[in-house]
Amino acid sequence: MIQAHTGGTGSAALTLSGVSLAYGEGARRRAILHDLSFDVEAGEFLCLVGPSGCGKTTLLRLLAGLVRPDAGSIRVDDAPVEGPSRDRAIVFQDYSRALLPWRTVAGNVALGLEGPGARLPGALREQRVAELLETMSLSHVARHYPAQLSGGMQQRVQIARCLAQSPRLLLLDEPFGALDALVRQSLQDELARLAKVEGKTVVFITHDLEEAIYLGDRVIVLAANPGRIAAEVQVDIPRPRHQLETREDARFLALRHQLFGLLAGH
Amino acid sequence: MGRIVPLRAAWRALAVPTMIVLAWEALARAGQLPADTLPPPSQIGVAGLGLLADGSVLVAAWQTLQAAVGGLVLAAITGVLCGVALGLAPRAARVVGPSIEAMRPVPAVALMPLALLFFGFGLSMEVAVVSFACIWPVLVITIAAVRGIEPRLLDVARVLEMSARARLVQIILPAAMARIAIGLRLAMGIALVVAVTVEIAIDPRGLGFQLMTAQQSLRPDLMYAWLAWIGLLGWGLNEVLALFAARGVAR
Repeated sequence: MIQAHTGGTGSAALTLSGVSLAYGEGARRRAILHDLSFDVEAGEFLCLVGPSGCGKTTLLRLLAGLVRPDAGSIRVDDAPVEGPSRDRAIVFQDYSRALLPWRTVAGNVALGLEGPGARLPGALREQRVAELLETMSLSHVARHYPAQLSGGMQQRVQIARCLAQSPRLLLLDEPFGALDALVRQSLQDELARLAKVEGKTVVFITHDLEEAIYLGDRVIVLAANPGRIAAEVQVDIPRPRHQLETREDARFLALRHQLFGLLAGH
Repeated sequence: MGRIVPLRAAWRALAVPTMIVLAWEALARAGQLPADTLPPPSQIGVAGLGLLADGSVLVAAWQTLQAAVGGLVLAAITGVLCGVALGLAPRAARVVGPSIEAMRPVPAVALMPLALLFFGFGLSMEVAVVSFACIWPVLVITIAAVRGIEPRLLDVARVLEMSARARLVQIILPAAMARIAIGLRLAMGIALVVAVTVEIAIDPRGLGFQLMTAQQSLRPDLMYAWLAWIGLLGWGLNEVLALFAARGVAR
């Protein structure tokens, strides 16, 4: 499927071709994902939406390199994905488990700056952490521990840590699914703004169709059993988008109508 | 107000022992108690202070603590190292597991004759028995702690391309530490018990040995005095443990 993408710059940052994955042995072997192919352009915000059991999370783990496909290839900037990489940050849905409970907020963000190939000198590292805390509105809780924060704040910490590893690709697995509506909306807006400001390529997974349309430059709808592409649409709604106006926009509603049946049909 | 309540609680806690001691003292002075098994508390108190005055309590307590702490440290180091290794290598754990389960129920004190053969009387023998008793809770809990680490954290470590060493130091050890500390606490509780037991049974040193000597030389007052000192040491260690535990909870 070749289309003009408004969000991207025209070159593929991520390419999946014929990716399949099955779990289990023998008669109980079950296909999770079947023959998935799509591109994500550099700087594009792609939303993947699908019902539970369509292999969304597995797909994201494949992109992160945490799982290997049985067939097909995944290429990032034209290099095959061989395993996890600092270049691909992943924001997990269960933020409370993905943070180090013994480190402060600042310490958790600094984790993204540690490790091979990311050694900033101490002073610069502190400065970068401070910047990220500022960006994610976390400065006032820098010395708190994750358990002292609300869910929304914890998810901010995780996003900040992922930004700290300066990834080329930002993968998010239903990051706002467990948050209440108001917090979800403000985080949606911040993420959309950040992604564009920093020029990140984003793959965002959700089961919420409206969230997918609201955030995405493009939305891919997945069908379940096995997970496969059911539809793909461009979202030609200009940015910045607004929680009220955009959701009342005729284009938004049209897309919602068009895709709603696909999701409800399963 | 907040300070009055614990004080009151302290008085309440002391009420029963005070009454017992007073009754005991009265009955003993009235000649109603057998002096060779229940000497008057005042006599025990004098004997106890005498042991403190001539320094023999400090010497004996030092010897017992050496054995208890030495055995504990040995068990803690070995147990944590082996536990982390086995927790990270499920295959090796499956091979070694049955042997651990077979060794664990062996009463450590039953190994006293063996330890005596190997090390003779003295500190080494006592440390060996204490560490055998202490290693199992540390080992078993450490294995479970490492295995029970949140898999999400290991995902994070992989995405950040952490080296094996960084993963161990930054993720695995801190994540398992709270539970490993529980194993260490259990081991601490065992260490003093086993050390005193070994001294009472065969090793001629420390508080346990003094307790036995007092009993055998028909000095019930001394025997009770040693018992009180042992109890005090146990209580003190327990308080130290509780302090550690409180720190652990508060991070």
